Amino acid sequence: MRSWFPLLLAVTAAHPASAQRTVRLALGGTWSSDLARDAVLDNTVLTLGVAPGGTVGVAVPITPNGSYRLVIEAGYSTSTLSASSDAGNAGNLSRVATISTVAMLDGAIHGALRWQAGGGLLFYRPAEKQGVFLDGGVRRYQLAGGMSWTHPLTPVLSLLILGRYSFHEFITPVLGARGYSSYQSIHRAGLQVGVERRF
Amino acid sequence: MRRLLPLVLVLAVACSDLFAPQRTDAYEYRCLPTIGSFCADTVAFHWPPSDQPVRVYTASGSALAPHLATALSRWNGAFLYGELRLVAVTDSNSADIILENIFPPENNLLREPMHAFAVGCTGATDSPVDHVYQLPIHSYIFSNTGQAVPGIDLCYSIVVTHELGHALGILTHSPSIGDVMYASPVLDGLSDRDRQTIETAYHSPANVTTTGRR
Repeated sequence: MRSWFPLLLAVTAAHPASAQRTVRLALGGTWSSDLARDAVLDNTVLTLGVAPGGTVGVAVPITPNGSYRLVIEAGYSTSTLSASSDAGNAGNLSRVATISTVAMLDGAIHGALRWQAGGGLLFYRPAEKQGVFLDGGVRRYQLAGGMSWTHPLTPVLSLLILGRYSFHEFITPVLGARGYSSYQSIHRAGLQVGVERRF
Repeated sequence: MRRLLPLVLVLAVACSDLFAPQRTDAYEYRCLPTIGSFCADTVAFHWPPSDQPVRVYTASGSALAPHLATALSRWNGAFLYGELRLVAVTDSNSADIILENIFPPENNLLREPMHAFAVGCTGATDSPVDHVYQLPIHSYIFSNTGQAVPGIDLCYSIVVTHELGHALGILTHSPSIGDVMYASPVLDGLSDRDRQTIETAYHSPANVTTTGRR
């Protein structure tokens, strides 16, 4: 995470259109598709619960008129991890935190509605080394995108609604060592509400 | 068509699934009614979710104590989907499985039909009777030649893991010397076949219930 600070400082100082620079803070929830499926073991499915969490970010204009911006976000969420199987023999595992870091291009759609698209890294951090996370956390590359909408509350502060989608491929060292091959495509969707401040 | 190619590639990547291994190396874990078997019927056991975490006890001063944590870690680590959770407890009254460093009661080794005959030590574990497992399950692990013999620690490490495997549901022995569940085990750890076998046991029907304390 520390490696982001110099980059954040660099991009926030990169363009003179300071009136358009914003920082944002939002809270909400993230849904994730199933982490793993095993049809050989009586249709066992490993599921992450809906994860409450938050996002902090900055948006910096990269064109003179501010129509395109660079958005850098870091998000944290934590959720339950549970498995189910046809025979009912799978159970709950320890909670898993996810830390998402993304850099996205941002552009206007209509009015206060804007799109974002980019990529970054997603870190899984289990509370305990067990199950598919027997060797601890993993890091995956992700594609990310979404939309944002703002509504002015004061001259410098706006209500912010973020809709986010991301995609990555999931596998862990222990799954690979036990003979699992290929990757599980993971789709994540989130909705967050917060504030954005111009500076 | 060329313009659609990137989209097709993205969709193909976005829909990939993990391919699970077939577990074809798993050996028989059930007690079958064959000649010489203690079972008159096919018997299959695993700890149900309602009985978890499974609590395991050995006396803190016991020669087995240093090896219990290792054995619990090995068997807990065999599962990917939370099928079983083993914990050590310090009170034998709250235990589901008790490991004792003594010869079986009444000096009757045959009372415990699941054995391990390793070099230097022997183990024996209670078996289910008439599709019922009486709790707590006792495992007796003892030195063949005395506690001070070189290599006894290694033997205890192997046999604690082996006997715990019986108490978890592997009610028979592996035919391969490369597995910890071989009748005269030499492997100090779990093989891939041991892992596949316990995974298979916990994803297959069981016909044994537990009774007694919990």
